[in-house]
Amino acid sequence: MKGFVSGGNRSISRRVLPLALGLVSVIALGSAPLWLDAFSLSFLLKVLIWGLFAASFDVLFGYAGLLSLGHSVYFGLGAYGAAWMTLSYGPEVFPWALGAGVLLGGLAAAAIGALAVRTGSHGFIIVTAVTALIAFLGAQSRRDLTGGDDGLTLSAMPLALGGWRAGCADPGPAYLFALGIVLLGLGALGTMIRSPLGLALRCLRENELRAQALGYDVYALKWLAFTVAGLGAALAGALYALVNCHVSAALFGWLVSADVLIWTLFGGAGTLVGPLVGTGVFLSLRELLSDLWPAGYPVLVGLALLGIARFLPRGLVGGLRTRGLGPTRKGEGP
Amino acid sequence: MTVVLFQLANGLVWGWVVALVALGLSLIYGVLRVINVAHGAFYMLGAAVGVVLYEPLQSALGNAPGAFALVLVLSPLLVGAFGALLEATALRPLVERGRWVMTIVTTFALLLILQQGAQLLLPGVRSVPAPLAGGVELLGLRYPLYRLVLAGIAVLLIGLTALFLYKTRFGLWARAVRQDRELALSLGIPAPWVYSGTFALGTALAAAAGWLTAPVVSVDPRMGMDILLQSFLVVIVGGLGSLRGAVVAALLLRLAEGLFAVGFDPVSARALALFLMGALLLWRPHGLFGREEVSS
Repeated sequence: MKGFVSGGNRSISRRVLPLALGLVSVIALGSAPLWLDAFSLSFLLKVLIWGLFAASFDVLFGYAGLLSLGHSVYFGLGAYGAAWMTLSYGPEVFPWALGAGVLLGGLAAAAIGALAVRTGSHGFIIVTAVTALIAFLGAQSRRDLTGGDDGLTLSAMPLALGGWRAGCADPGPAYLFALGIVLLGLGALGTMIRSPLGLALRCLRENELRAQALGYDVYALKWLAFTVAGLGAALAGALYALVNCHVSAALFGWLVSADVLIWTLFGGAGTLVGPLVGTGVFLSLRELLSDLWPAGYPVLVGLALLGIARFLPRGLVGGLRTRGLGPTRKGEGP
Repeated sequence: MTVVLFQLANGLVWGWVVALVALGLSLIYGVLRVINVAHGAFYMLGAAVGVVLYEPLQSALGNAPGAFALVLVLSPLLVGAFGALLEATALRPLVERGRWVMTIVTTFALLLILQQGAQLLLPGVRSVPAPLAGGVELLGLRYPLYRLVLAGIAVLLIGLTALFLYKTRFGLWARAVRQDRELALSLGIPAPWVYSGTFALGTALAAAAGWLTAPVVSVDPRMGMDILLQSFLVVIVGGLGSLRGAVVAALLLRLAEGLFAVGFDPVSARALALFLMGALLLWRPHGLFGREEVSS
């Protein structure tokens, strides 16, 4: 197994380049309200929120090597947790609504994860798919709680910066608030990936037996990855609810789980940045197609997935990186 | 008492249908090591193709049960051939390289394409009239005749599949590949044929189940999702790759749901049955008849 290539100059450029790129993008994102109109700003915000969701999925899929087909459950629970809190106590309590969404999604991930990671790698996929289906059917049948396909509508967060007010169509200062939360979330995920815990997860992905032999508690590690990914997804979901002012049962649907998988694969699983890029590309694509052929979007997503699975298994960012522990090697297992 | 009997009969009928769908799923998993997420779409395709063929055949033959039976042969054949084509083009390059994560991504993509494609080509909900009217007296309960026939055909198909797997050369090959792929290949078993044949057989079984249930449920592009959920569940609870386990778990799931439906509303009954399956899985994480996964 090739891999761990270490070189003096290359590793320095490898450290400086991402740092510079990251700094430039943070500055660009932070100043975006100055040079973007309301529509583009709101679109950019959506990319950021869904990108956080995709990054949380990448922790589970790209790093721990666990393919979940039900990651939408935690996004949906996060969104509904925040929505229910806002509807009960008013939009002023939005920090608590955010917390409630994260708590709800995180607790669900901790509980479902405890069952799912014990069923073996193939069983895991099926169990997560089953939880997604149950959540979707449940959300559809309990229209009194979820509003079904029509969903629930919230009022905007009472944020204002001078005369600049947050609204549902024009996020305004809510953009800066959400940007801060998204960057915090991404930073937390990135820190975890770079920590010894992240290395242990990668070890698990590459060879579970060897990880076991090294003394790692593989169930605990998988459960932890599942729970952290669920927390990240719930945070994204809660932000989505607060910024978008609308949640519906469709958030639990198959398409959401399919979307996050394709964004991550296209951008490059196991890179954390790749899923963000993939999210941006595909959301822009959907925006373009929504005028031309809205019903065809899922078909195109399916065709794109087929192509990626066959011809671009390491994704955009993964393919660009010469080093890096791409997700393909994991696929060459038994 | 009649309510209990009615629910049990329903549970039994649907149990065999789920077993039929899950059998194909389990077979494909056992031989190709592919978790066919698109399996529910093939079930839906079986019904959709049947809807398209039924009307013209009926007017040509002038005989509803005859046309229905003919469609029951044609629809699985067409869907099975389509499945074999998809397997050969989209799945096999990945199966042969052992990229099993990508195989799931691929079947997931197929699910999206087939379901949305059906939505575009055959929008809306359709219903198929039962080819056999009338009912049967069962211990003071009048039960629709067609449903009994449906369960009978499902049992027959499951039995035929078992015979096929245990009495024919192809079945021997398929079981050999299932047990040890490397060894089977080294003994000269034609793997491409086994892969395509198994995928065709599995999808044809799903299609047959789809057309059989078309008169009982409404035919729409999303009809496969519910049965996919149940088939997944019984395959996992029965033990991944265990054909016997899938059938046992399917009957268990639907009979439990039928019994729960006596005392609770349908949604709660479904939830309780699912919880029961979850409890079984906690008790035996590798399924009722499953063995612990051995990673090589």
